[in-house]
Parts: sequence; C-alpha cells; structure tokens
Amino acid sequence: MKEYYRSKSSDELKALLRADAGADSGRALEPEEAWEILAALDDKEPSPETVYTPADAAWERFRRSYLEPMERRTAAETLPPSLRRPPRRRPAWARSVGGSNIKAAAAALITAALISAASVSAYAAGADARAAVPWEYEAAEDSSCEFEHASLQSALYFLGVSDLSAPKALPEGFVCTGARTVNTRIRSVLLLRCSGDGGAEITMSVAVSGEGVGSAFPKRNGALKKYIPDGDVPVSYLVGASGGSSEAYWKDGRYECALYGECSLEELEKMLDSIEKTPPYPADSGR
Amino acid sequence: MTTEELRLVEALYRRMYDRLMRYALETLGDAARAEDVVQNTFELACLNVPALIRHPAPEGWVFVTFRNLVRTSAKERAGDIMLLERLQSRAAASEGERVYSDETDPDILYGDLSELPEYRLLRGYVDCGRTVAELAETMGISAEACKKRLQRARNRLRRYFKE
Repeated sequence: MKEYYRSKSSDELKALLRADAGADSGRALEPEEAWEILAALDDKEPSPETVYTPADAAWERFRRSYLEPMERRTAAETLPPSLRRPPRRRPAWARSVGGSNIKAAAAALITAALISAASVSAYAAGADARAAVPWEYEAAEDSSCEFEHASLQSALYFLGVSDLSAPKALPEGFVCTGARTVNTRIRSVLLLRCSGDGGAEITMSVAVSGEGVGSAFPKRNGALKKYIPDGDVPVSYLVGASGGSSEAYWKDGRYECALYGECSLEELEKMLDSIEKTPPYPADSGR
Repeated sequence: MTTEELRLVEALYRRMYDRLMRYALETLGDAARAEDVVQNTFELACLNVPALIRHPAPEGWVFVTFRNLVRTSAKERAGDIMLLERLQSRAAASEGERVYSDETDPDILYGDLSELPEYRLLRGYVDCGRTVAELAETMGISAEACKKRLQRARNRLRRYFKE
C-alpha cells in the first residue's frame, strides 16, 4: 500500500485526503492509510511550515491557552461537592436593578478586608512561603506552596490564619505538606494537604461564609451523621464515610471547613477530637 | 493530569503536529482553523487521557478524533461564512445598497447589524484568520471561554434571523 501511494502524484494524494475528510464514516480511510498518504505527500513536497505556527510555538500556545485553564478547572473540581460553586441564583430584586448583585459584592468587600486584617497579624517567619498562598476572598490567581508541618493547626498559623481552630492530630504517618488556594467564581478556598506514608492524602478546606456566598454544608443529610466531640467544644460536625474515604464538615465562626480524604471514620473523628476550643490563639505560637 | 500523562500527550503532539496540520490545511484551506482543530484534538486527548493511555494505538485514537473535528470544523466554518454573508447583505441593504432584492423587513433593512458585538467577534474569527487561542489572548480570557462566546454568538445570530 505504501508503494501504491508513493506512485501517486501530490495532487492525487491531496484529493484523497479531501475525500477522506468529506466522506461519511463508512467510507473513511483507516488511520494507518491516511498516515501513509501524509508520509508519501511529505516525501513529494516538504510540509508548508511557513504558512502555519511551528510545532514548538504551537505546543507553548496549547499549554498556555488550553492546558493551564483546564488544570485550574480540574483543581476546582477536586473540591468536595459542598464547596464547589453553587448554582447561580439571582434574587428578583437584583434582576430588577440591572443584574448586579450588590449584596454579594458588599459581602465580598467586607470579607476581603477582614481577611487582610487577619493576615497583617501573622508572624514574620516564613513570609516568602506564606506569601505564595495569598488567601483572599477573591484572589486573582490560584497559588500553592509546599512546607512540612506536624499538624493542620500549625500550618494554619504559618499561613496567617490565627482565628480558626484546626486538628492538632493527624493519623499516623501523615504530615501536612502544602497549601493552595482554589478560586471558584464566588469564593476563594484554602486547601491544606496532608500526605501519608503510602501516598494517601487528607485535605482540609477552609472557606469564608458570607451573605450571597451560599453554604458550604452538603445537602445530603441522610448520608452524614452529626458528631459531637467530648468536652466543652461548641462545634458539631457532620461526618460520613464511604469506600476508603471519610469526610467531615463544620462551621466555626465565619469559617466553613471540610476535612476529607483516605482515612477511616475513627481516624477522622480522632482528628476532630484534637480541635481545641475556639481561638483566639497567639499569632506567633504553636508552630 | 500527572506529569507522566502530560509527557505522553506532549510526545504525541510533537510527533503528529506537522502531519495533522498538513491534513487540516489541505481539507480546510485555512491555517488558523487547522491549528484550532489540532489544538481541540489534543484538548480532547487531555480530557480523555486515561482512555488514550489504555488504547492499543494512541496515534490512531488521536487521528480519528482529529478527523471528526475536521469534519465538524468544515461544517461550522461554512455556517459561519453564511451567517456573516447574510449579516453583511443586511448591513449593505441598510445603506441603500440592497443585495437581496426580496428583503422587505424594515428592521433588517435598517438595523445596524455590523455594530453587534457577536458580529464583530465572529468576524474576527472567520475573516481575520485568527485562532481561538489568539482571540482569547486578545480578550484576556481562556480558549474554552472564547469557544463558548463564539457559540453563543452563532446561536444569537441564528435566532436573529429566525425572528
């Protein structure tokens, strides 16, 4: 077959390609055949590279315009369902004033100001890594940084969030290894990653609740049960497990938190038990 | 997508790019559309990378996907050109140079269609030989968002003609 195509002229080969593109699927060439036609055409006429973008530049453009946005979308999809962007609901009063959701915008501004104020009180050590994860209500870009902390609480301190309690204990073999922000359209979520010995991961996500933002709590109450830890802790949790993973959701002040990953429900409940009573904590301790 | 998967896609891209471009150029006759089709093919490859890795002939998978997209692109381009021609003929008619003598709708005859943002977007895509990625960079949005805007523009213009 290869020789057959080599014996054809360039025009005949081009006509075959055009016929292939216009043919219905039943009469189309096999991929190998089309490839042989293209190879034979390459032998007869060099590829007209001057009229199109060279492969290196095209790959770079592909990375920039297609792959990077795709990775950002995928990152947003790794959020627990309850923290993904809720369906857009616009109240009737907002529609009647030209479509701008003033309430949501005001809530966003106030929350951003609150978070900036919290960040200022953060301690100075490790400022470079912390600056890599600027957690604002609606940050311009997703960001991430790597570190190693023995607990989620110390990682939170490190990132400048000093008014939220987080688990001080992790399952055996786990350490907190990094953080990143994921920006959905209406909220910025801080993700803290814990990695275990066998490659297992547990993630804690933190988002700020606010008017016009929607609740982070899942709506499938039947699949989750309420968990109230021992002691004088004013927070209750919604917990559940399926397959090899477990999840927990809770609200602490203005923060909506989720903890999920590859661990048993018992391990997850131990982590929740290690959350101390409501802060404030000193901003530069507990590391 | 893992680093390994990305490497596989990049290797396929670099190996197949020139021949796919040649096929698309011969069949579509437009370098910008040809590049769009190749980029869309590899976007689909990235979205289906587990299937691509398991496939006994990944190049065959890419080629069949690519050929289907070439066919879709050819039809889409023909549709775009038709839409723009109809719009241009209406705009010309509104300036007193009626092209279609059977046009009687006054809204159409005197509507300032060339000012529609949908028209400008579609025209930038069809007439100016720019790829979706280039248009997206100009507008400061992602290629995916640009494709959606183009689709909305087509839908809106089609609706305009139906009304």
